[in-house]
Amino acid sequence: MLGVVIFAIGLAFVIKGADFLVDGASSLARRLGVSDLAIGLTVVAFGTSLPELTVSLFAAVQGQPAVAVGNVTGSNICNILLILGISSLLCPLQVQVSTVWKEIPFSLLAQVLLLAMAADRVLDGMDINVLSRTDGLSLLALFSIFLAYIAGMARDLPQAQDEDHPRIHTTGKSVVLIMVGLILLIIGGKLVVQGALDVARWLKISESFVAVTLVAVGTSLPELATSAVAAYRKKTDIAVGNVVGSNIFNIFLILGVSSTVHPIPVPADLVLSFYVGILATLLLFVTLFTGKRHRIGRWEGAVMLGLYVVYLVVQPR
Amino acid sequence: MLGFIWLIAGLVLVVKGADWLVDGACSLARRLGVSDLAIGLTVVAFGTSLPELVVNIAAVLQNKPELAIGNVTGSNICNILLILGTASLFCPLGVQKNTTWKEIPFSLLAGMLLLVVASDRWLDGASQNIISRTDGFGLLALFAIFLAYIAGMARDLPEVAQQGEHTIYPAGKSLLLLAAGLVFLIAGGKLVVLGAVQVATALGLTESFVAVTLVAVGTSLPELATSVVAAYKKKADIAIGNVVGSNIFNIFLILGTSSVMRQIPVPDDLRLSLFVGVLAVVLLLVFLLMGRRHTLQRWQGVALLAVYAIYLICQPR
Repeated sequence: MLGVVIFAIGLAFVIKGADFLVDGASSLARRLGVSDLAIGLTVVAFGTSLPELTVSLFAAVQGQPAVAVGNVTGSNICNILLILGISSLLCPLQVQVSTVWKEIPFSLLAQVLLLAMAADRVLDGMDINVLSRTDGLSLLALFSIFLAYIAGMARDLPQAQDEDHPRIHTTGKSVVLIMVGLILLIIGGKLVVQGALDVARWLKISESFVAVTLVAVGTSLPELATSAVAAYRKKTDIAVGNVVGSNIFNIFLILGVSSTVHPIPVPADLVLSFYVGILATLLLFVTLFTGKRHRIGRWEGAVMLGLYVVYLVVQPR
Repeated sequence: MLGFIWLIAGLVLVVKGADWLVDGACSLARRLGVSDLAIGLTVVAFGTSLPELVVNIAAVLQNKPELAIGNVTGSNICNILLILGTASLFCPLGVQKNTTWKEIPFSLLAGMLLLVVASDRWLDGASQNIISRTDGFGLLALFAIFLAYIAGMARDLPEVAQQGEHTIYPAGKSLLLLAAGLVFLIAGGKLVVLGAVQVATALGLTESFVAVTLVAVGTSLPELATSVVAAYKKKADIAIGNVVGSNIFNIFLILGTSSVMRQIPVPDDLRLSLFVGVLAVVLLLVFLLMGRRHTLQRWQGVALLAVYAIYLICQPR
């Protein structure tokens, strides 16, 4: 029981810490004369990913690969099947052309590449499947390309800059925010990992299962909030883009950084989640051409949710 | 002595075979109604890279990692330091903005990533530096992105579509060209590898040294021809773009494909060439941003050639 409490506190710390850090860092950057575009990009890029990054990084360093990998693969599945499934049930989601033809294929590439990198046994005849440092740096190389792509898009779209006009705090307050944010992130990251392990022991389910469900959904809360707000404001075209972008970040940035810092062995009971991640992305792509073009309709959302349930049943506990 | 003959005969077969294969495939594709753009892209993408690809595959299959990796790293060094160095002596080379800001950084990324992927000992504490299958898939993923980038560019540039306007042969002749081209390529690839090994033995040099010089320059002949023609027609801005594109192809497509076919151990005496490959790109980028912007001037060409000479002296024989 205590595990759930620890986990919840950790999650709150991580999310609040990320907020503080981003707030402090961007107002400090403003004072130092960094451009709005660069700040907006960094906020978009790292702000919503920081909680996931902290958790996966801590899990990797503490030798908890199930949490490090499950967090990412579980998030990606949950992002598409659960979040997009629910949102499209509430209101059919329109999707931008660039999302259909660039971002979704890019995220499919990410998923397939992750599967390849985690298949050292089959592909390279090694003893264990491991995301090595060289794998991690390759993932980061792909991340840098995605970042360049976003920067190119952002230059043409003034929205990306408007999105973040945080108040400018005094230098002193900015520094305090950054410090507090960092401390919260570090403590929260540890607590989330600790809590997840406790919950797994308490409910007698595998760490992997807790990672792909509880941890993955928990750390995805910021994305969920963004998507919910977008749907509420009827800006549904942002929802799908957000989710797909977050999936790309999860693999390239988060797994890239984590496995570069500390190589991550891939638990055998998470292999299924790699395939389901690919399947979910393919399904998302296909739904944009069934029914109304470039739109996820209600029944397609229902199919996604159904698939999520099937996945939860099949994923080893 | 016989080694030289094999090597030259092999090179001729490979270059000619690539021509025929591309010719036959294009006119067949035309008959099947494939668009000019798609054909042009394929020609640009694979046509000039085929000789290198075939030599590399033959080298990998015959367990000659020195030739496989030396061919690629040597080509990339020779492309920048020797070819661009020489070309800029005759006429200062202008460069398109896209090349400076997108393609050269991309090829820098490629060079650095190759270094990373070939540093398993240092990064992952592995017993051997090896470009594994999973590394290969990572390289191919980046190749897919580069191809998408070219496709996006090509849509705006009519030149690429013109590459697709080949003479259309009857179906029978196309098939014949295709078959003969393939046979030439396969036989030529084997001969180049055989010849290179014999030359190394005859001259008492390492296979690595022959690979980074003779084989690398030999398989780069098609690129050299393209660049010379471009310079002659005063289309100097194409020259640098060609060379940089070819370097990207060498790493992502050619090493990607060969290491996916079979893992390639990285010979220790080729590590220098991996670093020089990165250095050459950095030099090129710095030169383009120094002095007259987006132009490679004469004195800079002299500097490139000097670095090439130093490299040849330092590279272990």
